Amino acid sequence: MDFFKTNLEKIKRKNINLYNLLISGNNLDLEFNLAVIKTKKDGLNSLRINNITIHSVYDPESEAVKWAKANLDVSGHRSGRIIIFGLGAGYHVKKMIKELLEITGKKGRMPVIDVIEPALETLLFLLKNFDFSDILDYINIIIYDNGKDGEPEKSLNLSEYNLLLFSLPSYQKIFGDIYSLIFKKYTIGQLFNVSKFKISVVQPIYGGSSTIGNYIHKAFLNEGYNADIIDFSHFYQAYKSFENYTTNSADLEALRQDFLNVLGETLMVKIRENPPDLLLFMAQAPVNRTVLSKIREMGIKTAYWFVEDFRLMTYWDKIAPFVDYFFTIQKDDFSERLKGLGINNYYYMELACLPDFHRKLNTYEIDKKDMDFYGSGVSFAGAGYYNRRNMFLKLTNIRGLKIWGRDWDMNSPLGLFIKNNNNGFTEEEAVKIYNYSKININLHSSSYHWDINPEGDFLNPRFYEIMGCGGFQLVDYRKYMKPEFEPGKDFAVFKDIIDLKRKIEYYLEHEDERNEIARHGYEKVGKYHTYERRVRDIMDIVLINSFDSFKSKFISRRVGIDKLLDEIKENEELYNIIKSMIDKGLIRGGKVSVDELAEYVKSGGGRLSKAEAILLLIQQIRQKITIF
Amino acid sequence: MKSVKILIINLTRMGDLIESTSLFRKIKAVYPDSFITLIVLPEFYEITGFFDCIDEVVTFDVTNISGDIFKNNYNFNYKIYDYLENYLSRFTEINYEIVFNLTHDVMSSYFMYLLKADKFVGFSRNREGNLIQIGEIVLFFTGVAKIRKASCINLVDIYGEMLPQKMPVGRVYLNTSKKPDAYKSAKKVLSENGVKEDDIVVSFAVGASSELKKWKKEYFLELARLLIKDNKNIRILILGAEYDKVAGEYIKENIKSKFEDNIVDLTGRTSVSELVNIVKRSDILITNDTGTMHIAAGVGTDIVVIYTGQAGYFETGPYAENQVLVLPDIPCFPCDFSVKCNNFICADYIAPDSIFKIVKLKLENRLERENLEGLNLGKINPLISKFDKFGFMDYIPLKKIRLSFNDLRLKIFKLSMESVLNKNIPDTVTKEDIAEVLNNYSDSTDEDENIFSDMAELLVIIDKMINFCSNAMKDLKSILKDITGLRIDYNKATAALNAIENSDVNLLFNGLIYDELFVLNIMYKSCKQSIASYDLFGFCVDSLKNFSKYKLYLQNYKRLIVEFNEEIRRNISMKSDEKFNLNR
Repeated sequence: MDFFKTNLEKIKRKNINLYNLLISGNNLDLEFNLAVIKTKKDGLNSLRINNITIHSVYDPESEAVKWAKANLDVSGHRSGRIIIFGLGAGYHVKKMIKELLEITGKKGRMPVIDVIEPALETLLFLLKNFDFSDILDYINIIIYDNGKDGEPEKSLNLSEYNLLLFSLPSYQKIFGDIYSLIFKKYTIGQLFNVSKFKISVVQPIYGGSSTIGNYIHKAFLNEGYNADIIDFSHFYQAYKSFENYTTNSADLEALRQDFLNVLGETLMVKIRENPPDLLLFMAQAPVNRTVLSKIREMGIKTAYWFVEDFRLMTYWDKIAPFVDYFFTIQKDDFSERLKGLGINNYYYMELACLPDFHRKLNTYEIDKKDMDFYGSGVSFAGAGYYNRRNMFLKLTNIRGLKIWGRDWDMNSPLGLFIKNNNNGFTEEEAVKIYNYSKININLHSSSYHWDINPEGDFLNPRFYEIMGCGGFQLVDYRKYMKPEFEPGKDFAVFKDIIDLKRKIEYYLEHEDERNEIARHGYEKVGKYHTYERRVRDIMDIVLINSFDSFKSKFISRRVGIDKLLDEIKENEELYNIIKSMIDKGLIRGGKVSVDELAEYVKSGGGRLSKAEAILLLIQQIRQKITIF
Repeated sequence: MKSVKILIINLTRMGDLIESTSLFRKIKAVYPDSFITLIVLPEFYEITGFFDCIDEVVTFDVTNISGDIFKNNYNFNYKIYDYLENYLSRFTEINYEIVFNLTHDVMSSYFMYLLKADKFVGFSRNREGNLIQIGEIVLFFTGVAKIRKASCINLVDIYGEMLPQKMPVGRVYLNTSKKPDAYKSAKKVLSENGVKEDDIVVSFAVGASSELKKWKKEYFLELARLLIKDNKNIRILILGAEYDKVAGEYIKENIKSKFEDNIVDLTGRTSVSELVNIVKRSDILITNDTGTMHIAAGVGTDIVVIYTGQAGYFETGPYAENQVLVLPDIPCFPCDFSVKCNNFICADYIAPDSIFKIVKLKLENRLERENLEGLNLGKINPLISKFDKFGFMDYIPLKKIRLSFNDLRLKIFKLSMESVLNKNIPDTVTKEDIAEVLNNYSDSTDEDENIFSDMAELLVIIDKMINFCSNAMKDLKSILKDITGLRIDYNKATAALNAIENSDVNLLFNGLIYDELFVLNIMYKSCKQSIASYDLFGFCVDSLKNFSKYKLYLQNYKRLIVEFNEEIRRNISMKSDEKFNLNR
C-alpha cells in the first residue's frame, strides 16, 4: 500500500519547503538498501536499512512503549523541545507522543518534537511505505544532510536550553557519523561553558594580522569566552633595531631568528603560568615548529589563522603541519597545496567585521568637522601598493578624491590627493572615512599586477569593514564574492578602470541606489560576516574535532540548571535574568558566580529592576569579604 | 503610630556613626512627629544604645551574608538572595518621607535605590544604575573624599547640611543615661582596677583602623612615664579592643615598677558600653584617630588626638570646641588611602615630650597660645578646634605659623563652600572675619609677595574656568532656544554639543592644577553623570543647571580670594607704615 500521497498532503500543510523537496526528490542516486519486513504482529511492518532491522520483528509497538517510557523517565518531562534521531516506521514516535499527551494532559503544553531523518532517500521510502498521518501533526521532520550549508543545523538549534535528544539505536548504527556529529553538537550546545573556556590570541610583532587579532579577541569576549591577548608588538622596535648593527642580510636573518626564538620561549613561559584551553595564533606570530610541538605536548590545542595570501607569504608549510587547526582565507588552490603536503587540518575562514567597532555612525554622532575632513565623494583607504599607484593615477580628474594610507608616492601627481601626509590612518579614522564617503573604492592590493588582479580570490578586511560601517563600496571583482555575497546588491563591482570611472559617475548621481546597496551590504555582513560569527564557526570546528579533549568541560549542565531555575521560579524577574543568561549560553553548569550575574546585569541597558539591584547589592557585599 | 517615617542608612564604623548623632537631633527637631529608623552594621549596634532621637535600630549583617557567599565559593545562591529580598522588604514596602544614606560606598547605593521615599539624600543610583549623589553637600563630600588635601569640612557638618533647614548643628552626643547598667558596670571595672574618685584619669586609645594611623606604643609608654612622673595622682587607662592588647601589655610591662600601679591596661577587657562610661569618667583622652576619640567628643571629655599616616583630620577631627589635634609637620601628611607608605616617619615627628607639654597645659586649663609660644614642640602642628563664622567646625593653629599659600587657599575654599552650601547663612565675609583668620598666622611677610603672585595665578585659572562655564551655558541656551522655537538644526546642535564637550575638557584640565578646583570639577562631573533626561531638551536644561552651579562655586571662591588678597595687602601696608613711622 502506498501512503505517500496521504503523508504528503499532511506535510504540505505543515512544511511547504519539505513538501517541495520531497516532490522533487524522486530522481535521487540510490545509496541505501531499503526493505519493508513483516513482524510477528499482524498488520505491523518493520523495515531494514542496509540490512539492519530498525524495529523489533516480534512486537515493534511494545518495544516502542519501552523506548518512550525509558527515555522520558530518565530525562524528565519538562523539556520544551525534543529531537528524535530516526523516523523509522514511527512506532517509537507515536508512543512518545502518546506518553507525552498523557503526562501533559489536555491543558499541558506539549513539547515541540523534531524528528531527524538523515537522508532524503530514506525519508521518501518511509513516507511511501508507512502511514504517518496520525503523528505528522505533532512532529516536524528535518532532513539532516551533514549540515552542508548550516541551515538544518540552525533550525535544529542544538544550544536551546533543556532540549532533549533521543535516538533509535538502529539509526545510530546505520548513520554513525551523522549521529556522532549531532550528538557532539548537542553536547556542546547543552554543556559547553564558554566563560570557563580560556583562549589566548597570540599576536605577531607587527603586521596587519594584529588588527584582526584584536577584533577576534574582542569577538571572543563578546561571545562570553575567557579570552586574552598575548601581545608581542612592543618587541617590534627591538626586532627592527637589528638593522642598525649589521648590513649583512644572512647575519641579520640569523639574529632575527634567534630573537624570534626568544619570543617563542617567552610565549612558553607565559602559557605555562596560565595555560589556556586554546591558543589562536594570528599570522606571523612568533612561533616555530619547536615551540608549537612543545605546546602540543602540554595538551593545549592550537589554531592558526593564516590571514595572508598563501602565494605571497609562503611560510605556511612550516606552520600548518604543527597546529591542530589551520584556518585560511583562501580555498581551492590553497586547499590542494595543503592536501598535497598531507595536511588535512585546514579550514576556510574568511575575514569579517566587528559590529562593535565597524558601525554606522548615529545621527547625533555625526560631526561636521569630521565630515569635512574625512568625507568626500570618492575615497580610497589603503597602502600605496604597486597596482593601486597605477590605477589611482588614472582617477586624478575625479573631483574631491581622497586617498588615505601609507607608502604612496608623494612626488607623483597623486601626492595632491593623499591625506594625512602619507602617514596612514587609524582604525577609528577608517570608520569615519567609510561613513562619510559617498563612494568607498576598494582595490585589492597586488605587487605585480598593473591594476586589477584578474584571478584575485580572497576578500580583504576592508571589504567587510566598509559594509559594516554602512558605506557604499565599489570593489574589484574577486572570486570569493560568490556565493556569500551578491555583487551589485551588497556592493558594486568594477572590472577595469573604464568601468570604475563609469560607475563612480553613475553612483554619484544615483544616491538612492547607492544607499540601497549600502543598506543591503550592511545587513548582509551584520548577519553573516561578523567576527562573532567567525568565533562560533572556529569554535564549532575546534570543539567537534577535539571533542574528547574537551569532554571535561562539558559538565553536567542540565541537572544544575534545572535545580537553579526550579529554585527561582517564583521570582519572575530573577528567573528572567537567569534564564536569559542560560539561553545565551552564559550559564552552563547550573552554577553562576555572583560576579558573573552582576556583570551580566551591568551589561544590560534600561531601567535597573529590583532583582537587578539586589544582584548588584549582593556583588557589593561579596566584595566586602575579607579572607584572613 | 507616628506618621512621618524617616530612614537613615549608616553602615559605617563607630566613629562615623557617632558623628551622625548631631544629624539625628536635627531631624527630630525638624520632624518632631517622625519615626526614625537607623540601619547599622551589627558590629556597631551596641553604641546605638546611647543615641537620642532614634526610634528603631535595625542591623544589616553584611559580614554574615558575605560569609555565606564565601562558603558558597562566590557563587549565586538563591537562599542568600531570598534572605536579602525578605530582609529588604521590611524597608521597601514603606514609603518614607526621607531616606538618608550616610554610607559612602557602592553597596549602600544599591540599598538606597531599592527604597521608596519622597526624598533621598546621599549616595544612590539613577534609573540606569549609575552612581549618583543626591544633595549638594554629598557631591562636595564625594569630591573631597577623592582629593583629601582639599578636605575642609567636618563630617558632622556635612551630615548636618544634608537637612537644609536652618538649625544649629550642635554637637555629637552620646546619652549615657540611657544605659544605666553600663554606667554601673564601668564603675565596677574602674574600682576593681583601683581607680579612685579623685584620681586624674588620663586615657590612652592606642588602636586605630590602620597601622599608619597608630602612634608608636613606645611613645605612649614614654608619655605615660612623663605624665606619672609629673603628677603621681594621674591614673592612666589604656583603652582598646582585643587586637590592641599587644600595645596595652607592652606599656604595662615596660613602665617602671614604681609607676606600675598608675597604669591600668583595659585593652580587650571592656564592652563598648563600658568604654563609653570609662571615657566619660576620664579627664582627658590621648588618642589616635579612633572611634574612641568620637566617644570622647560625644560625652564631653577633653581630647588630644594624634594624627599620622592616612588620618584625615579635617573631615573626622573631634567635633567639640577647644580640643587639640596634633599633626606631623610634614608635607606628605595626610597620605592618600591608596598610599602604602614604607617610610613611616611622620609618627617619629610627634615626640612624647611634645604631647606631654600639651596634655599638661590642657589638664591645667592653661592651653592658651601665649603659653605655647615659648615651648619647643618639635616638628608638629598643634591645632585647636573652634567653630568658624558660619558655625562650621574649624581647626586653627594653636601656635602661630607662617601662612602658606596652601593653607590660605584651604581656608578661603572652606569659607567659600560653607557659604554656598548652606543656604541659611549670609555669604558675606567681613574684614573682621578675614582678620580673624589671618590672626592665627605669624606676621612674617618674607614670602608674602610670593603669595600674591600665587593668588594672581590662581585667579587667572578661575577666570578661565568661569569663562568656560559661561561659554558652555551660552551654547546650551542657543540649543534650547532652537528647540523651543521648533527649528532644530542638527548640525548646529552637534557643533554646540561638541563645544560644550570642549568646555568640559578645558574645565578638567584647568581644574586639575589646584586640589580645590579639582574638587569642584568632580562635583560637576558627578552632577553630569546624574543627568536622567533622555531627550535633548532635558539634557540641555540639566546641563545648564550644572554649569551654572559650577560657575557660582567658582565665582564665590574668586570673590573671597579677592577680598582676602586685599585684606592681606592692607595688613602689609599698615605694617610697613608702622615700620616707616618707627624708623622715622
